[in-house]
Amino acid sequence: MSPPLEVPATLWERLREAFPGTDDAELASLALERGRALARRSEPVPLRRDVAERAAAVVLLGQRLAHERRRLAEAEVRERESYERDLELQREIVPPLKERARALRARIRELEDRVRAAGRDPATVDPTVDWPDTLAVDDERAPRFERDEDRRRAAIEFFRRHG
Amino acid sequence: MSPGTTVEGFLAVVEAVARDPDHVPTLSVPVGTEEAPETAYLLLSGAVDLLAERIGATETELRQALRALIGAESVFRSEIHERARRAEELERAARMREREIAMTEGWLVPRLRREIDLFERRIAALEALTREPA
Repeated sequence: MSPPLEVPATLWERLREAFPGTDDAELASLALERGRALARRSEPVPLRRDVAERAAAVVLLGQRLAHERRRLAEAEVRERESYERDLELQREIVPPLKERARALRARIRELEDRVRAAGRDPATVDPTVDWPDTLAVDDERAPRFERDEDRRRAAIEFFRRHG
Repeated sequence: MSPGTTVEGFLAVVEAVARDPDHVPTLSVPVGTEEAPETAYLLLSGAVDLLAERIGATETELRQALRALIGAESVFRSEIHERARRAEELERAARMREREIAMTEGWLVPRLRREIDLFERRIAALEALTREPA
């Protein structure tokens, strides 16, 4: 069995009233038969057929519009959440880690100098660090971020200019 | 005469389907084993035509209904286009940003934490050595 179709309640209730004693399955069968006849471009009159086919198209467009509205609402939430998570990572999480790594690298260089000054070879101390394989954080500076208010203002300005 | 058998009833139906889709109550109709993608269209057009025939809608009334439908169709198409376009833009932006987030969370942050751990262990070893007598 196919899943039932969603149709405007007003349409179906009027159809039930117009065909008393006919159950929904029979009505659906009648309607489908008539729909196929219309699609074959047989009678009834063209104007009524035009109304019927346009009404069907409008219902389906309305269902698609409702879907696009939900989709847009979901896309707005997803975009905002990704923006906020990215901002959190780039402002709250990554810069402190890079800052910590930079400070530790400086401390290692300082200690290695002291070890060498004491006549020892720091390369013999474990664990060793394969420096070329580490992330270059010495020249890193935390990026600047717009506040949410700045972002909103820029968006408003964009739409104002592009009308 | 019941509302379904009046022209007013028919025009009310047309106005109802042309209304904002978020405010159109629907009900489920069984369609047996019909599975063709155009089943919904055939069912709806057939239902409207049966109703129009049953109540004997006049040409004037049908033209009035047609005007309402043409207006709604134009508005719906325009809004669908605009919302779909905007949704695609946002989805694309989110997808790109999510890839960057996955890279940052899955690679950069763990890598930095591993390096910090290594640096801290090396610092501890070097400090221990500097405390030893030469």
